[in-house]
Parts: sequence; structure tokens; C-alpha cells
Amino acid sequence: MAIKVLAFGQISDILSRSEMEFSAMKDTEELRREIAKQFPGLSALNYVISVNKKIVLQNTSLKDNDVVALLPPFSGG
Amino acid sequence: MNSNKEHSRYQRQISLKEFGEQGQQKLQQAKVLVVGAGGLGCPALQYLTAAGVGLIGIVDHDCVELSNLQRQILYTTEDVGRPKVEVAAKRLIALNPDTKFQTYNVRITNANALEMIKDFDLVIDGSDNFSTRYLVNDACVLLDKPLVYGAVLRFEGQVAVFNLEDKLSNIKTNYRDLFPEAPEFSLSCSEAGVLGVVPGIIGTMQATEALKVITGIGKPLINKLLTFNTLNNSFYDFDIVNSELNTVYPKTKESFKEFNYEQSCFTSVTEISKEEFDNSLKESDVLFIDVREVDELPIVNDFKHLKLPLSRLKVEWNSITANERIIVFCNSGQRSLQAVNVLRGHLSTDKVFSLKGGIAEYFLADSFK
Repeated sequence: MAIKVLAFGQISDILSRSEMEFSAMKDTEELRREIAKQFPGLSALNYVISVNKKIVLQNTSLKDNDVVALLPPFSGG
Repeated sequence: MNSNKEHSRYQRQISLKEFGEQGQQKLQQAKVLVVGAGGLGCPALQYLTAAGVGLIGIVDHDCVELSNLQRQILYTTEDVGRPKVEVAAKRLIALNPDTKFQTYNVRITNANALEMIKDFDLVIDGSDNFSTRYLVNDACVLLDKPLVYGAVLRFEGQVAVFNLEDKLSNIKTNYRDLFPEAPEFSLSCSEAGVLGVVPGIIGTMQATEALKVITGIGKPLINKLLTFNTLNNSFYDFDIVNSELNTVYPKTKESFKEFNYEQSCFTSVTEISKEEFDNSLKESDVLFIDVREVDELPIVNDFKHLKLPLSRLKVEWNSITANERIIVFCNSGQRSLQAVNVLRGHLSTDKVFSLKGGIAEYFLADSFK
């Protein structure tokens, strides 16, 4: 049972990698909490989550082999 | 096509069967507004002009800075200090005299945005800060204009087409369906850096999406956000859906004009001029704070000041002791406006001011004396 997590932008710096795996997570909120616990630097950052490429702004249940992406907003131009 | 000359200018695209004479006519009739003539705006403007878009509006209140030239390829070293819209229009007219230009050498705000955008068919967001991005998004939603969004940071970029209905699903999404509200904390390119080619690629993709939307070819990035990472050459796309959390936006033109877009809504009262800044240097009870990240240039040695980058200021504001007045500065005057907001909020005082135009412009004015 695993969930693949892809990191974008500054998040990949904080995680020191652009891809990692997490063991079974009930939903995106649990995943957010777990990531924040392991990477406190992430708490100051705003980001949205996608599950299997679909942006989900509200808590969403996760299942085995889901691919979750963490996307921060960019403002540069 | 009216003449052989015109035909031969656009021959390579007219010969594309999906595009043809019809596509060229659509471009000729199109009116596109490009917000920001910076890293994203430059390549977008160049390709749209080269392709023969009929009318292009350019809005930007900045002057060319030396640090722009690494990525803003419309400008040359000689242009430093000159208004971007003027230089850009001159170069673009030389590129294609068929295209008409409308320049706005002002900051786009909620006071002027609706008037500015209403006569254009499509808007390209090449701005460099969140308040402008939300403002332009909301204005396009209110006026029902398609918005081609692009943004960059470090080695990555994002591109999307907002506020355009997918013909199959009848679904139309915008920036607030992706990020409902502006983040409290974020890094700009001057803080985090950006590889020059990144806005070049993303700005060119924005021009591509605009050409597709105008001529009706291909599948534009409707209800999708595409990201590109130049370091590992990876593309990734996200599906955007209408969000129930997309509620915090002005619903009418009147409320748009009163909506607080932070930096863009600051009035001149929060900003001080170079002259006022010079006068304040002579006063004793004024605290000067440099809110740039460490290592940013130019280095300031000319007067006593505190170095407290905006990212730290947001958590360490309570380390600042009471002064008669506080004056904050950064490179361009944008982060310092955020700092004013933070300090005014936390210290419950309105005696905090930002150096208009930033320290780069301040020193530039000095060097011309």
C-alpha cells in the first residue's frame, strides 16, 4: 500500500526531492498532516493538492497507488 | 489577404491547412491585451506581433532595469531607465508595422482594469505579483474575457487558459478555482531567482495558447494547468474543476473597484518619493528597514538601516521597537508595500511607509544627477 507524492516548485526544495512515497493514507488531510510533521518548513507555504492529476481543494479520500501532486502558486513573470 | 506583401509575411502559417487564410484574418481582427512587458510579456508580444495580431495592448508601469535584461529580450542595455511600454512598442512596430499598439504606462489597478480590458478579446497575464494576477483574473471573469495565464519561478513554469468554456462539458474555470485566495507568503523571482529561458518558454506557450484560442485550432489548455520543469524536462498537467471554495471574489463591477487587492490597492499615502526619503534621512527618529533577501544588489551602505528580509519580517515583526516613523524599502517597491501592510497590521500604526520604485530606482536617479 503506497501513495506516490510529486512535489513542484519550492516544495521539492523543502522535501529535497521531487518524488516520494507514503504508506497508506486515509485522505488528503491526513497526508497534509503527515507531510507537515515530516517537513516543518512546509507549514509556511501555500499549496494545492491534486489526486491523479485532478485538483482537489477539499479533503479527498485516497486509495492505494494514487498519485498526489503538491503544487504551490507561482507569481513570477 | 490584401496584398502579396502581407501574404508573403504570413505565408508559413497560412500554408498550414488548419490555419489558412481564415486563421490569418482572425488574427488580423483580434485585439489582445498583454499585462506586464517583462519576462513572460516579451516573448508573448514578439510572437503575437510577428504572427500578425491586429491590435495589441501593452500595460506596464516599470522602466527597464539592468537585472531585467537576462530574460526580457525585447530590451537592450541602452534602454535601462526607459519605460518598458515605450521601448517595447518601438521594437514591435519595427518587427511588424501591420500591428497596431495601444500602450498603458501605468500600474493596472482595480480603478482602471475594467476600462482597460473591456475592448480587448483576450488577455495575457504576464504580471509578476499575486495581487495583479487576482485582479486581472477577477476583471476577466467579470467582463467574460479569456485569460491566458503564465507564471514562473526558478526553473519551473505554469501555463493555463482561464475563463473559457469547454464546449463539451460547458465548464469554465479560473485562477480562483485553482488557488481561491492569494497566499500570505510567497517568493518573487527577485527573491528566488529564475533562469532566463523559463519565462521565454512559458511566455511563448502563452502566445501559442492565445493563437489557438483566436484561430480556433487545436485544444487550448481549458480547465487545465500545465507545468514545465526545465531541469528534468518534465511536463505535468492538472485538471481544474469548478470549486465550491471559489467564493472570495468581487461579483459586480462596483465591488471589484472596492475589492482589496493588497499592493495594487495601496494609495500614495503608503508610498514616499525619493525626495521625501532623502528628507527623512536627516531626521533622527526614523527606522529604515531593508526587506530584501540577503545578497540582493545593490548593497546599501549610504545610511544606517536594519536588514530584515520580508520572509523573516512576517514572523519577527515584534523585534522592531517603536519609532516615530518606519520606512521600508526593497528593490522595486513591491515587497516593501507588503512589508508596510504587515507592519501596519501588527504594530497598529499608520506611520510605516514604502520607498516608491525601490532602492534600485533611487540609486539610478542619483547616478543621473
